[in-house]
Amino acid sequence: MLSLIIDNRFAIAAVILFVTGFANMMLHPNLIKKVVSFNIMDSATFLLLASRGMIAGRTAAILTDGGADPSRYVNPIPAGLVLTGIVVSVSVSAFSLALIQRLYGAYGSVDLRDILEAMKKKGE
Amino acid sequence: MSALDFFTKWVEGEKTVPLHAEFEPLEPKKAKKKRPAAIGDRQRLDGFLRLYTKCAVVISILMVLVLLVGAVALPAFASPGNPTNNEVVRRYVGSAEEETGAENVIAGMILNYRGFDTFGESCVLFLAVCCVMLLLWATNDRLRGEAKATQTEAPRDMILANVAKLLLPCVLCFGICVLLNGHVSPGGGFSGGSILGAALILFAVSFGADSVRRFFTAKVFNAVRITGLMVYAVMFGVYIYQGANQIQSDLARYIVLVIDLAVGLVVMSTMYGFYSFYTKGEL
Amino acid sequence: MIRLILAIPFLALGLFMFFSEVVGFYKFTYVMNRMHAAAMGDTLGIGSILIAVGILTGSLSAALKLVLILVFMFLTGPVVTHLIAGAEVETHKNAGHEYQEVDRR
Repeated sequence: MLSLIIDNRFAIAAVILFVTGFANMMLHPNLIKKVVSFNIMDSATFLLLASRGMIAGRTAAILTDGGADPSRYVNPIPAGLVLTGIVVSVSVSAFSLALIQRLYGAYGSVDLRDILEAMKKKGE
Repeated sequence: MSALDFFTKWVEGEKTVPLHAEFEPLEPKKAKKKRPAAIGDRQRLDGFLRLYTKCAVVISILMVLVLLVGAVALPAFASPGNPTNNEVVRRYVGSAEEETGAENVIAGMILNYRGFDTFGESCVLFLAVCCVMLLLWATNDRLRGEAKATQTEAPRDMILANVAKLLLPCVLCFGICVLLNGHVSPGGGFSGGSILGAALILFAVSFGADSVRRFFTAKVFNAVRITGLMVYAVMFGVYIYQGANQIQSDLARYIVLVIDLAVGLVVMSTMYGFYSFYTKGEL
Repeated sequence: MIRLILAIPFLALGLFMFFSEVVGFYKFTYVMNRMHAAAMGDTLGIGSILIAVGILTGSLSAALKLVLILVFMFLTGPVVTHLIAGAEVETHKNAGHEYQEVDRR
């Protein structure tokens, strides 16, 4: 049991972080805390992707003075996936924060309950 | 009123009459029935939110259990039987230096072998700035008046200005070094561009936005973004036309720096654009 | 091996400082107290962890680069603290009662 946890420590840590971010995103009523929790979920995904790329005894895929010997380097593709993920995470967070700023300008609060109440009052 | 005027008025948020106003509705709309306010609105909202909290806790616990079962069943960390230990490493690492001209195999891969994905990322960054512009650029007085509630400019701070005088040359040099060395050592377009964007934001915060506008006006901003994306689009249009394998040209080793610079400039203007739109509502 | 034994006290000190910073950040109610707790992690915490890393790498050039990182953090940390304190005094609702402005001359 303990060896099972230690063998997959990064995947388990990534799962715990992901569910922490997800539960926070659903439970906090403050909109900016939801954006922060979304970023925590993204970090968990990057941890899982990057840790899946590691192979024992090899190093990162930057050619040093040993020459281009493929058995000394890790597959470079998981690192490329993480780069794409980081860019997408930044873009989505930026767009959400712009939406939150417009919501604050229109309703005067960043709390989800106050905004829902004010929206219902405006609709009547 | 022409269709272009109609579209412009709609984009700016002014109330418009429909284009074909001479048509009338077929029958008069029925008046909406008012819901009887038996339970107060705030009470219904609180009840719904309590149910939502309970469901959220149940869903999170279920998700933890399911994902943990999956995470434990994965192959062990850093085992040689990993699915990523395949023939791709031999092909990419073995011929990265001759074909892409980059010793940083990751940078060579995302700019040459898998360059179309990086083109998608540049598009995502471009679109994000366009969406933030649509939401927050206060072009007329009505929008500027609405934006006064959320946007403030901090007064100039002496301590910050003096420390920024010390630090800004170092940050700019470091950013340029990371950007230009991206194909040889860890770094590249995205990280170098982010550092340069952070240097621009520090410059704007400590010396005021007018000092940045001396060299980084709205025209320069748009020109840099559009040029970066167009360089990318042309290069990877040719890439797709040649068979989407790699850039099949003898010059491929020498243009990796140009592609990296395009990425870095787009990212730098994106970061500064976000800061500027959030705090001032204009560039 | 001897490098590990030399580095362990610094690592333990750094871990303790970061742990107390996080606990203080969540338990204090006033912004100024939370800022003080955060500053502890930024100075002694990161200082001792960088010293431990410098001992563990064993190469002089890497250790000198770590000292440069420490200098950068010591330059920017107090400026950030000053700006947060200024923003807090400007935007706090009861600022007249709770904070007292001292003549800076």
